[in-house]
Parts: sequence; structure tokens; C-alpha cells
Amino acid sequence: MILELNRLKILVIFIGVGLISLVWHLIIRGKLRPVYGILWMIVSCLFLLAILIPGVVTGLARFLQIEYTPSLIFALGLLFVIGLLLFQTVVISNLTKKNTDLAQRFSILNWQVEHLITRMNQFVDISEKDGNIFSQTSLSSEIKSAKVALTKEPEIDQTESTNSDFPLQDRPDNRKIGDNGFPDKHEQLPQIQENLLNVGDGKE
Amino acid sequence: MKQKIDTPVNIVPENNILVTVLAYNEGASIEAVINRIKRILPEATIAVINDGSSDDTSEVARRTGIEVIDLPFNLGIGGAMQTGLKFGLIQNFEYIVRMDGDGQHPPEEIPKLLDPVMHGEADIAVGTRFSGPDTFGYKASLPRRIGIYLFSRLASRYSGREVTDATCSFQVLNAKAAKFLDNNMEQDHPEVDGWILLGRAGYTVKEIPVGIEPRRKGASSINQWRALYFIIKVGLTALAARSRRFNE
Repeated sequence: MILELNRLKILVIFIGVGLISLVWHLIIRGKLRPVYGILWMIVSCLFLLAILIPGVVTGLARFLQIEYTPSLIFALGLLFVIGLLLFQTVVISNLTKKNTDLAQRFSILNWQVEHLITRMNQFVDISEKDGNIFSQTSLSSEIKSAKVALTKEPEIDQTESTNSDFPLQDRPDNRKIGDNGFPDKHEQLPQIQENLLNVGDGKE
Repeated sequence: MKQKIDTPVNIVPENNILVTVLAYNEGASIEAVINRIKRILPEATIAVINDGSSDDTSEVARRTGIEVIDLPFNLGIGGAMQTGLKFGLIQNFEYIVRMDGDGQHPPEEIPKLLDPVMHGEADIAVGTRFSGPDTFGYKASLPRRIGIYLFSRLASRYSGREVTDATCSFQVLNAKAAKFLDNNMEQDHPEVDGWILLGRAGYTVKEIPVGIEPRRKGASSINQWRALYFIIKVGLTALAARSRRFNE
């Protein structure tokens, strides 16, 4: 069947192809997740097929006993928009739930960190007052280090960060730019917690 | 011998009771509420769940020396309540009291609610304002009473037991019930939803007559314009709770 191209069809094909390329670019740039992009791709393809294969829309309208063919196109468009909105609402509900869960866990973790810092401060104070008990132990210095690491914001060395002649992998201790000399605070927490527990056990 | 500590910070007292006080912009009343709880339950751990307040609720609560969980933004009553449950479960508390920070829930009534849960007669004890003498002179407005009546009928019908005050949020839960609600509750005004889900799952829920004080400071989160929206929303949630799937 020979495709008869008129100006309107060319315009519609142009829009369809444009939509597919736009969706594709959004996917490859990471601005649209492929799972959502698929939906738009399918709709764009259906859009093109309806134009490229003559008689599809008319045949479907006849089958559904719709006298005015463009009504079918509008109805399908509206159905797609309603379906898409419903899908988006489900996604939003899911995200809201996850967001709430994250906020709750964040606030509880924040409370735990505050408590740990308070405890560390108490141990450091005791260590400073009673040098015979704590200042000889490795725990005291470890707590002091951890306290500094947890409370001090990392200082970013601008000179170092702009020096492309001295890349990260070539630095002597392989440390990251802005590292303040202590292990990552998140990695360090479990060890600090374990040490704090051991204090009561008389291990230190 | 080393004490077993499952969480980094152990704050569980001997009596295993955590009192969670939900507060949103309750800086004016929170201190009095905390002091009253301390007098009634001096051994219990008290935690204020500060639901993203924009006033000095957090600072005032911290000055009293209790635990304060600051939510980064306002989650609403259900989200704040769930935070209290999560906190209690993470810290391994056996009994969790849930009350509001506006002073309407008198701490003097907590032992009445604790009693059946601690004696194993109920998994959750919920206060009711309408089946006993109200010693604190609480008077609900007519629209509110109508709403409470409708929700109580709905909760009675679908939970399989008579409920007189389905919207009362003054409760004591054991860890089992707290875990169930944490896993399954809806976050929009979860009381009615909770009644139905707990009933369907076979938990023992007991209503205990308690006095409720009139609000002294601040304003209720439900104004007259939101009342209709509230009724529709809670009604829909409760109907969904009737057939919603839940995790044990």
C-alpha cells in the first residue's frame, strides 16, 4: 500500500519522530528512567504506526461503531492521559511513603549520633581529669580523634584540588581531597560504638 | 559480664516503658506535660517526637533533659506516631505510651492504660472519652461528636468489637502490637484504621475510660474547613482497612 503523504501527515510523523528522539535523549542523559521512558516510546510508536499504516484508525473506529473517526483519537488520547496520571499518582504515593520512612529513620539516627557524641565527650572529659585510667589507653586518643572527625567539617584544600599534576591515586596515603586525616565518620561509628560498650566491660 | 546492647545507645529503663509525646508547635505547653509525666512515671523514658515544629518545641523539650526526636519536616500525626513506634522498637522497649503534647491527654491517666497491657490482658489499651465519667471536663463540639460517632460505628462494624471512641489517640501498646502497627498503619489519622486492622489481625484491644483535658494553648490541627475533608479521608481509609492486605 502506497503511503500518501500530505502536509498534515508529514507534520504528525515529524512530531512522532521528535517525541521518540526526545525520550531517547532524556533516557541517555539520565533524566528519565528507562522504565518510564518505555511507556512514552510505545505511545510514540503507536502514534507513528497510526499515521504510516492508513486505515488503522478508520478501521478501529468502524469496529467500535464510532461515526466520527477523530473522536476515537481524542478518546484514546484522553485515556492515555488518565492512565498516565493514575500511574504517576501511584509512583508519588510510593515515593511519599519512602520519603516518610527516610525522614523517620534519619531523625532516629540523628538522635543516636547526638547521644554517641555526648558519650564521647563524657569519656574524653574523664580521661583528661583522670589521666591514670584513660590517658594511657588507645581508647582515649581514639575517642578524641573520633570526636574531632565527627564535629569538624572537612577542610577542602583548593590548591590540591586544582592540581591536576598530582592525581588522587598518586598521593602517598591515597587519601581523598579534603580528608582531615581521620577515617570516614560513617565507617568509624560501629568501631566507636563497640569501644564504648567495651569500656563498661573493663576491657580497656 | 558484658550487658547485651542491641542498639548503639541504650536508654531502656527497668520498667521497659517509653512515653512518646507527639508535638507540633507545642512550645507553650510541652514543658508542663513533660513535668507531669515525670511525676507520674519517674522511671520511664520520655521521648518527644517533634513533628517539624517551627517554634521552640525542641529547645524547650531538650531543656527538661528528656529524649527529643526531631523530624526534619512535618509528617503529620500518623507519621509522627509511627516515628515513636519505630523508635520504641529499635530501642527494644516493651511498652510504648503514645500521647499528645498539647496537654489534652492527662499523664495521670497513663497508669490506667498501662495496667491491662502490662498484665497481659490487652495488646493495646486505648482511652475513651465517652464511656465513663469525664473527670477533666472535656467537651467536644457537636460536629466533632458526630464525626467521632460515625467513625466509632465504622470501627465497631469492621473490627468486630464495640468501639465508643475510635479517634482517641491516647494509647498504650506492647511491642507486638507496636510492630504490627508500624508495618501496616496508614499515616493519615491512623486511629480508626488501626482499630480495624488490629481487630482483623486478632489483637486484643481494650478501651479504658480516661479523662481528657480541654486544650489550653495552641489550636487543633483540624479546623472547620478541613473537617469535611477529614471525614471523607478517614472514612475512605477505614473502608480500605477492611479489605487491605497486611503483614503480620
